[in-house]
Amino acid sequence: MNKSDWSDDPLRNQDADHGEHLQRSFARRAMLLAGITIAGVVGLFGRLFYLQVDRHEHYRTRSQSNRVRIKPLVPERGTIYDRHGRALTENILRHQVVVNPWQVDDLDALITELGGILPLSEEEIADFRTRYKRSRRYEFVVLKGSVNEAEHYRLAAVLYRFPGVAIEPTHERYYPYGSLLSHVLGYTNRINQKDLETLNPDDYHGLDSMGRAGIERQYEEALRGKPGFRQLEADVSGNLVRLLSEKPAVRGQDIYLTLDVDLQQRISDVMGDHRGACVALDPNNGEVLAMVSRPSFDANLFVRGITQRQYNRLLNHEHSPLYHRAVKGRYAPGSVIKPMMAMAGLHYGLYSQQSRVNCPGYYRIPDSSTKRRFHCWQRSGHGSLDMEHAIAESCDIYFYSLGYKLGVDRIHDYAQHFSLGEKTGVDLPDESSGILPSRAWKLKQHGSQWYIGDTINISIGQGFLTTTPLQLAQMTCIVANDGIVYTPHLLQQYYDPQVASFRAPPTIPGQQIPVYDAAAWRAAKHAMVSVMNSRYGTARRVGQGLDFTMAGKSGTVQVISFQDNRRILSKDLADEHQDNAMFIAFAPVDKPRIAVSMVVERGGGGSSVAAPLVAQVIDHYLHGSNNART
Amino acid sequence: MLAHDVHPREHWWQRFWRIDPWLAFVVVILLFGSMNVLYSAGGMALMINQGVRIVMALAVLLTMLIIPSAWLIRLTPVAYIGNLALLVLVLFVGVSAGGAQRWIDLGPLRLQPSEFAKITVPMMVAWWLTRQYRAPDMLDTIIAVVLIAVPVLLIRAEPDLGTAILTGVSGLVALFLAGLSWYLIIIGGVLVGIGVPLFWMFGIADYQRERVLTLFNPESDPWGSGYHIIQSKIAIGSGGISGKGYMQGTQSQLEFLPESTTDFVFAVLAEERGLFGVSILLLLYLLLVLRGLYLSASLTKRYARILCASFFFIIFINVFINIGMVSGFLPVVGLPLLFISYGGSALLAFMAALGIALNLLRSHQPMAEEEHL
Repeated sequence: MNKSDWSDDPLRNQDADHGEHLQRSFARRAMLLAGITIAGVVGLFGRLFYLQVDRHEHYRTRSQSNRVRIKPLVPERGTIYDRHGRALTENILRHQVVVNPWQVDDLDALITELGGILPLSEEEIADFRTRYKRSRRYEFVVLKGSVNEAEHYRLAAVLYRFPGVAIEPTHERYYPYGSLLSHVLGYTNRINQKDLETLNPDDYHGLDSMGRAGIERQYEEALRGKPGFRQLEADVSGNLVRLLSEKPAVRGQDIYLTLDVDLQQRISDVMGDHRGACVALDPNNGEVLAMVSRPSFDANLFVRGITQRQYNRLLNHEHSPLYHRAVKGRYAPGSVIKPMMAMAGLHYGLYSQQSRVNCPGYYRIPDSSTKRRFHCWQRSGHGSLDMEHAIAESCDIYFYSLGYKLGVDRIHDYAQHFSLGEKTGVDLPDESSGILPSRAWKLKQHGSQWYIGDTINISIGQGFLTTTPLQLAQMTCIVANDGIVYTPHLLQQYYDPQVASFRAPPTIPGQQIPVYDAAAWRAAKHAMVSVMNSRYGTARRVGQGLDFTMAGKSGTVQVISFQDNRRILSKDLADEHQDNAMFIAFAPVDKPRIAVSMVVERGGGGSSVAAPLVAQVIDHYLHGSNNART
Repeated sequence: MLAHDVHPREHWWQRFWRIDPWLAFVVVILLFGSMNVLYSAGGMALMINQGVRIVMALAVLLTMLIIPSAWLIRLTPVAYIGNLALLVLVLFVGVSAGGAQRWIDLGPLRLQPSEFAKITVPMMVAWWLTRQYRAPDMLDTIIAVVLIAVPVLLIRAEPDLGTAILTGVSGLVALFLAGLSWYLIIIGGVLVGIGVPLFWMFGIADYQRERVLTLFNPESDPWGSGYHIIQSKIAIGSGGISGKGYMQGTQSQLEFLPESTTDFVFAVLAEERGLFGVSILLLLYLLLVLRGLYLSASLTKRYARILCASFFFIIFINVFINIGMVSGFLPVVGLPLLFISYGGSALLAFMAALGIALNLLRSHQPMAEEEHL
C-alpha cells in the first residue's frame, strides 16, 4: 500500500525511476492536450473569422432583412357539452389592457395617469408590478385582465398619449352553470412559473391558462387546440408593420359528456342545503348521468385568477367546498353493502336464501373470551329472519353472523369484484380508491393484526371500510346489471372542428363479473325491491306511490368525521353527532336505466332522509321529456 | 529533506492566499463578463438571478478550497457512489421538463445530478488508477471503462446526450492522462470508427438525428429545427469585427435568437461585441486551460495532476462544443457556455471542480518551487 500515490506516505522510494518515468509521460500527454486546446481555439477563431469577416456582408444583409417576427396565435379552447348538446362552457371575448415595458419610461406616472381613465384596484397594480419586473423586452404585460365597453372606448380615444399601451382581445372561459358543475368540469386557470417548467412550450405558445381540475384537466390536450403563429414584419426598432404569413391556430376539440345537466340540476335542487354527494350512472353502459358534490363553489372565480382572500375562504371553509366528494370523499358505506354481503354468503355457500338467523337485538362473537355485545340498530331485536327480511329490515345481527362465518379474507376477495378498494377508472383526475381492508392492509397501516371485531364491523359497512359515492354507484350498477361491469365514464364523444366530424372514444364492452350467480343476484335484487315495496322494508314509505318499481338499500352511518384531519369545532358538535344518510337505488327493476348512490353528510337516517331524495331524482330522470324511452 | 518541513502548518484561512492568481483572475473576469452579457440578453432580473447563483457557486468553491486535499482523495469513492445513487434516483423521482427527466426537486432548489458526474467520474478514474504506482494495465483499464460507462448510460437514459458525451469524455481524458497504453488507444480509435455508424443508426433519438442533418443544411427547415442555427449564424456573422454595440444586437434584442440567455449566449456576445469581443473570450479560456495544464504537469502526486489536468481539458471541450454548435459546425446537443450561460447546475459543478483543482494545485506548489532552488 505504501507504494500508493494517495496514501499519506508517498514518493521517493525504490520506485523513483518509475515515478519519474510516469511524471515525464504525464507531462508529454498534458502537452499533447495543450496542443489540442491551442489547435481547437485556433479552429474556433478561424470559424468565427470566416463568419464575421469573410461572410460579414452576407449576414449583415440578412440580419437587416431579418425583421420577420413571430407572434403566437392563441387557439380557442374547445367547448364542453352535456349529453343533449347544452353548452357547459363558453368562451367570452374580452379586451385586456397590456403594456410593453420597453416603451415606458416612467412607470409610476403611467399607472397614475391610466388610473384616472380606468379603475385599477390595488391588487391589479401590485400584480402588474411583479410581472412587469420579470418581463422580457418586447413582451407585453397584462395590466388589466378585462375592460368593459365603456372603459374600452374611453381608453381607445386617448391611447395615442400612451406609447407602449395597447388593448388586446382575448378569450376567457366562462361557466354558465356556475357552481352546479364546478367539481366535474374543473376550471381553467393562469399558467404559473412552476407549470412552465414541466409543460411543452410549443403546445402552450401564447396561451396563458390551462385546465386545472376535472374534465378541463383530464381532456386538456384535446380541449386546448394547437397554437398557430403569424409572421410579421417589423422595422429596425421592432415595431410591427406588415403581416407576411399566417399559420392559423387550430381550435380545440369540443367534448360531449354523458352528463345530463337537467338531472344534475334536479339532484342539486333536491339536496338543497344538505352536504354530501350523489352519483347517477346508466347501468347499461357506465355513462355518468350526474355527479353532484355539495357544497360547491363558483368555478368562474378561478378563471381570472382568484384572490388569495377568496381562495383562503374556500380552502378553510369548515365544509370544504373545493373537495370533490363524489370521487374523492371516503365514506363508510354502512348498510348499503348488505346486499353484496348477502351475495357473498350465497357465493361461498355459507347461507342459503332460506337460512334463518335469530336476532335477539345483540350479537356475541362465538368462542370468544370477550363478552362484548354488538347491537342491532333495532335494540328489541328482529326475531328470526331469512336473507330477504334481513336485507329489507337491515338487520345487523344477520350480517354480523354472516361476516363472522365469511372472515375478512373472503369478504376482501369478494368485494374487490365490485370495485371497492380500487379506483373505478372514471375519466377524472385524482379519484380516490377508498379502503377495502385486509389483514395485510391493517398490518401495514396500523401495525397490528386483524381482530375478529374488525370483521364484525366491516360486515355492516363500518369500521375500516370506506368507499366513494362513485364506487357505491358502480356497485349498484353491477347488482342492477346482472354482474356486467362497465367502467364509469363521462366522455361521450369528441367533435373535431378541423375535420368537422365527431369521434367517439373506443367503447369498452362490459365484462361479466367472475363471481356472477344468477340465483344470488335475483335474490339480492328481490330483497332490494322489498326494502321499498314490502310491509316490512325500511324505506317502504318512499316506495309507495311511484309508478315504477325501484330497488334500493339504505344506510345510516355513525361517524366522527368524513376526513380524518378535520377537527371538530364545539359549535358543530350537535351537527357532528348526526349520522351520515346513505342510499343506493336503481330503477326500473326489470330493465334498469339508472343507478344512483347518495350520501347526505350528517343528514340522519338513510331511509328517512336520503331515500326520498333519491326517489325524486329517479322519478325525474324516468319521466323527463328528454329521457323518456319507449 | 521533506518538503513539508519547509512550510510550517498553516491555518485554513492562510491557505486561501496561495491559490493561483492567474486562474482566479481569469475566472473572475469571465463571471463579470457573464453578468454583462446576461444583462443585455435577458434584462436586470435575470442578471440578478444569475448573480445570486454565482455567489452560491463561489461559496461552494471556497468550501472545496478549505477541505484538506487528503480528504478529497479519500472521499472520492463516496462522492462517486453518491452521484450514481442520485443518477438512479432521478430516473424514478425526477422532475420532467421538455421530455427529459433530469432534475431532483428539493423545494427551492433543483439538483441536476448529471452535471456533477462530470466531476465525480474523472475523480473516480483518477482514484482507481493511482491506487498502484504504475501505468494502468489491461484489468485496470477495463474497470476504469466500466466506472465511466455506468454513469454515462444512466445520463443517456434521462435522456441528456450532451452531458452524457461530456461525462464520458471527461472520464476518458483522465484515463488517458493516467498513462493508458497507446496500443489500447489505437484499438479504441478503430472501435469508435466502427461504432459511430452503428450509433448513428440505432443509438440516437430521431430528433437528434434531425438536428445533425439540419446542421448540414439548415435552410431545409428554416422554421423548424434549422431555426436555431440560422438565427445564431446570422447573429454572429452580422456582428462583424467590432460588433453592433452593447445592447444593440438586433438578433438578440428583437428575439430572433432563441435561448439567447442559455445555450446560445455566445451568439449575443458575438453580435454585440464582434470578433474583437469573442477573441478576448477565446483568449481568456485559452489562458485558463493552458495555465491549468501547465500547473498540473508540475504536481508530484499522480491523483492530483491527473484530476487537475482532466478538469481543465474538460473546460476546453465544453467550450469547444458550445461555440462549435452555436457557430454551426457541430450539432446542437444542448450544452451551456461555461461560466457565461444563464443557469445554476453547470456553473455550480464547474466551480466545485475549479475549487478542487485550485486546492490540489495550491497544496503542491511549494514542492515545485523547491525544485527551482
